[in-house]
Amino acid sequence: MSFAQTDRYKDVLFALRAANESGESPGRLQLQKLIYLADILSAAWRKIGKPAAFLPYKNGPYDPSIQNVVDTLAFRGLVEVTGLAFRQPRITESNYRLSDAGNGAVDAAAALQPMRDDLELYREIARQVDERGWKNIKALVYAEPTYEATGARNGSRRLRTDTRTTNLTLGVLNDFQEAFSREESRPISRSNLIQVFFALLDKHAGISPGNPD
Amino acid sequence: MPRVNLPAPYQATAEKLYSEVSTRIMGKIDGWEFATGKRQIDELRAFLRDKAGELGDTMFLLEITQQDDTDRAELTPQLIIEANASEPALIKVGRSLRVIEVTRAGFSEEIELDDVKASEISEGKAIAFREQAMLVRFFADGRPAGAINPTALSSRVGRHSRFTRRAEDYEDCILDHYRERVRNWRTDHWANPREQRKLRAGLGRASRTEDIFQNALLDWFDLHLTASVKGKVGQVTSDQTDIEITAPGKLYIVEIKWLGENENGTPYNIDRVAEGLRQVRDYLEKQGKAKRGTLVVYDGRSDREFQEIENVIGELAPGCKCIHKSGDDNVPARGCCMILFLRSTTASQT
Repeated sequence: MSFAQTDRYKDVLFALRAANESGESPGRLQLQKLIYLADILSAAWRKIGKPAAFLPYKNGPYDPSIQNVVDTLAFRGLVEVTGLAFRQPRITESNYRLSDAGNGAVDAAAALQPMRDDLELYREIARQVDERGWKNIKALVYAEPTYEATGARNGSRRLRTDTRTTNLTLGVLNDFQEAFSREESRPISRSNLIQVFFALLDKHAGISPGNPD
Repeated sequence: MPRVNLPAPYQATAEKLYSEVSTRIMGKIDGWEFATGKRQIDELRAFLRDKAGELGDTMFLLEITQQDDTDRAELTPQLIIEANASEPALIKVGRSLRVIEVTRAGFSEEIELDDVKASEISEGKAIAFREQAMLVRFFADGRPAGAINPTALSSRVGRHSRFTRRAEDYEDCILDHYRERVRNWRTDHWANPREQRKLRAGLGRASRTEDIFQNALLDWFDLHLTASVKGKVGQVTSDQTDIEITAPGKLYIVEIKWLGENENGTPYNIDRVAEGLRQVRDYLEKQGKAKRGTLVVYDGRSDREFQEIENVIGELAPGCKCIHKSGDDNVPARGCCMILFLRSTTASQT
């Protein structure tokens, strides 16, 4: 098993936990996009970068290790697969939920502070996506400045999310935070920083929060 | 560290978000949720726009909280008018803009409700002050938090659209203010515009002549710049400047001077310009992140003295000269000096 895949166990478990708490069982590509948003925001959330993993893909940013992990977790009984359908050879649709065992694994992982921190980021993202409608997660990701700037949907260059110059979201949020700390009497909270990020995406995705339908 | 090359549309959106009312309140009120506040401001704007006819010229104050207001009374024009019938009221609303509480604003009816009173009342609170149908000012914890024009349908949390400028166009904003307010002394800076050219020594909350111009320019910036603006009235250290204009990734400073004589007999001549240039230069050297600094000089001397100003690069507008040097002091590389002539009916008489 690759290092990248090991790292993704936490991401898949936390992403599913946060989405399920919002009442959503994300599909295959929705899961990819949810974890992409977390990768983009994690640097701003706790200034820990991740290795570049996502490739721009015709259906949005894609990291194969995420799919491998969710399949493994399903095989081991930590993830339940529903709505399985075969659209074309090698192209399936499915929705994912954590099983009781999967939820137990998340609870155990979240007992550690750094892990709990990451879970909170997924929860905040899931809250924001839920407010806008899960069917709009594709528009949100496509409006994210790093992904939007890559241009090619079938590029082979991985999307780096760990530096200010490659992760444009990190850059703009950093500028926002610096200006805020200079001007205002209270620091901007992480939760509000994420809310500002999604307000930025709303404009470019043409989404009105609070009207998910 | 290399600068982020953010696509222009995202930069513009980030600046606009930064200058929005909910963002300004977020920085002053503990626990304020940005997204909820944005929705509240949008809903308030829609309410004030739709009910403008029923509200007429009614000035009123709303305390905006994010408390749960389920099953509370709906905010209506009738409720607002009745609450303010005898003396100014403070109407407290919750997350859905429903009325939680109506109390007295805490000052007598002899004292006129204005932005200064609204600012005072906003200690520890977020206050919306409907000054007129086209202007609602917001204050949070004693400081301005932006303004909206509810009747301007094209703006979301909008400003008076005709003079709206981005942060980097603040110098054009200074010229707009000069043309619209200063040149015809609508800033009320003359002690008596029909007699000798003497500037006021103070006006309202301005305790110095310089503060009259600074407060007026600050108010103009607050209404028309999509940026955050902060003033330091009466600063005494060289580390502070009169006005700071902040937007994500941008910082600009404005230093203000005046020339002429005020009603206390205090005279200021052209040497003050060189003093101002040194202050701007010193600040830019200390503040590496500041992109640009501007010295704005309001010239209340005679027309002849204004015409004799040396080292002029050009006239940005009638009555506005831009210079590159004053005495032995050059305008710094990241700087600009604008000298704005103060007209009066006695301008030609000295």
